[in-house]
Amino acid sequence: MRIDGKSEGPRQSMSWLHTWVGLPLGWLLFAVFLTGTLSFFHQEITVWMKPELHQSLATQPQAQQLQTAIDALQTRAPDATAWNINLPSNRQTATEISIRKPGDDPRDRRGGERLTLDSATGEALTARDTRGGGFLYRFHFDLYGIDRVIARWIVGFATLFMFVAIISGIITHKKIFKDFFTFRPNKGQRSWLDAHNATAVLALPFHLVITFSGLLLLMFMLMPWGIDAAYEGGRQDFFQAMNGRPVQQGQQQNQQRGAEQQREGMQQRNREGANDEARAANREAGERREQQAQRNGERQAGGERQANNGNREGRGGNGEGREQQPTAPAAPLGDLVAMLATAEQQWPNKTITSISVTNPNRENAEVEIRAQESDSLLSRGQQPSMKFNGVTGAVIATPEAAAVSIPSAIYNLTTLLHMARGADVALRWLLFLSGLLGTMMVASGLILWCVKRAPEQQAQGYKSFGYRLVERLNVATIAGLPIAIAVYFCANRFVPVGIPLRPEMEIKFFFIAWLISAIHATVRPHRSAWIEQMAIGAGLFFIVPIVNALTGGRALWSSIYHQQWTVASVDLACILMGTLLAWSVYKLQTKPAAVVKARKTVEKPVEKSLIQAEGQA
Amino acid sequence: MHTENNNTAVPAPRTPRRKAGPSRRYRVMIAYRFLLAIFGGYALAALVAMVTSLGFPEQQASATLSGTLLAFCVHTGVFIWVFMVQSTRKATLGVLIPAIIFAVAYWLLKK
Repeated sequence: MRIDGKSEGPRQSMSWLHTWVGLPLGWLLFAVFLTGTLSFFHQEITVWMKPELHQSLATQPQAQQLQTAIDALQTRAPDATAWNINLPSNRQTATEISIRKPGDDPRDRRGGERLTLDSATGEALTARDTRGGGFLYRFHFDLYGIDRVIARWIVGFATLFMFVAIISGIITHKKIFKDFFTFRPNKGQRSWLDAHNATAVLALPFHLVITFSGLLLLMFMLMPWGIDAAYEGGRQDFFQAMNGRPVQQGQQQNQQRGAEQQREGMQQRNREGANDEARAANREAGERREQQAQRNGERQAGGERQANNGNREGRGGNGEGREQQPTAPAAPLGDLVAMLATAEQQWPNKTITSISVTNPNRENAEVEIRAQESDSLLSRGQQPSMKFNGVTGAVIATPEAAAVSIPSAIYNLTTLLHMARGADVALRWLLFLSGLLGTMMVASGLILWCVKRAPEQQAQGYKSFGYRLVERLNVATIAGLPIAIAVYFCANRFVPVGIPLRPEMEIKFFFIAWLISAIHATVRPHRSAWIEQMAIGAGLFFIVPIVNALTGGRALWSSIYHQQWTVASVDLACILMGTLLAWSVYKLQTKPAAVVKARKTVEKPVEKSLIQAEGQA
Repeated sequence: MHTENNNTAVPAPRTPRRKAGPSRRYRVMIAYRFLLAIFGGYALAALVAMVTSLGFPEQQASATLSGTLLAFCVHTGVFIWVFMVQSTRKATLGVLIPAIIFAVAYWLLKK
């Protein structure tokens, strides 16, 4: 896209496209990437942000933890319609139980009373009110303070631009593998370019998958036309067809549609009102129900979905579809510990985390045990589960899952990886590190835009408005957002417990810190703004683990000693972030002449051609 | 990263042109291409999704999902196309003609 309209090679034009499709939404993409990367640990962050839960050390055998939980449930709510027990795992320190009383819908996953128990003593733990990692997780696709649908369109649009930027970037780099092994440090612009290339190429499959699946996760909103064309009832019918059930024709569809619209509204309200993000996994599961086409037929079947619809519809004024189960006669609950042992035998390599009991202490009691890691991301992506008769303890056979078609497999694999669902610790950390690389790729791309234009700006003797704007936005985003996140973590410990609207107060700190960083970036000279903000960010991230230890959380050495990885992961991730920021401060300080050097490089004819091919505007 | 032969494609004088700033015509052309890529690409992607989902009635669910996955690739492809080709007219036709073909196909399938 040359100004003079002369012909240019495809790689030159792709380089132009790469630059100009990447820049306008680059800051948003940086924020989405960074908060999204941290969201791989959003459950861990939530636990970290509830230091009251750190005291629960899950060192006992699981059978003992389960017995403790059952004892607590039997004393608290022997007449409940359903119990759900989430045992401690590498993602949670304490035992979480939820109780559904008679009158609640037994299968509504969001309902019921929730309690957190010390896994050793069974004593209830009251944690502070916080949005925890859920705030960062929501921010990465819902942003904050604007309408959810508008926010998702904005993020979806940015995701498309990201995808275009990746593809055009790949076309620009013919010799992608040679590039990967080319890093010329301390060469000004060349180094930035190499850093951009290296971070891009090193995790290229990750970038492609995460971006494409980002689009797929929003596809029912961004691209509903295929589904609408094929299915009169829209999404609901499509889900049913994907689950291999015949689509019911007729008036029910319209009803379902209405119910769904209502449900959308409901969910939004639920979400806005909800504070307990520790249960985010469950909540997401509910959301996946709407987002994910391919479902586990048995458990999440249409029947349940309809029951849910009915329930919500009922709240909207129409009680149809609500399931009223007559109470079965009382019967002693079977031995759950033995059932757990059976499940453990079945899955020797998996962590069992979730046990749910429907109709406990009744004749029709049923127990379902689920493992944390999924069998395969290709198939249902659902955690494996076993069902037992709750009185006799006999295994109830579950039907085989339907075969997965290729498009469903693609959809499942990419979206489940995106959400790190069913991922074990190693995969989660790999995703986290890839996400960090992606974040650094976006950041280095934005900085490269400036570095590349620095000689030109120097030649003209003043910085043009656009150039200054990009420079400042770069500082305010690339340095400002990490600062805001670190401040959010610290605010979690310094905002008094028990004040009204406490979670909102924490979020206020996040945005105030970000605003101050933006103002600072505007008033300070560019270089000083970088160094100062990166230094502050590094300092804050190093302080976070110390603050954690001093304000009631479990100190890093103790959490590592007791293998409480939920808490240790967050502290370690903060130290990693701090190290990255400190390293960039060091780099910035030891290289005062980076811009001049870049200028020298441009003087060389060969280098110049490279640079122009890379991203000439 | 780049081969030597690419040097030939690179114009030497850059600074003088830059100072004059891009012409209005150029700005309009770039704005037009972005609009074409965003909205034209979306329209074509939506049509591809609709035709694919209707085109295979015996495996409709799979076809629908495939069509939607394909749609995002098509949209990205349109972006690449619109900025890859030299002539603006060619860029436009490259989006318009497939869109018409898919619109007709959709109309036929719907009947």
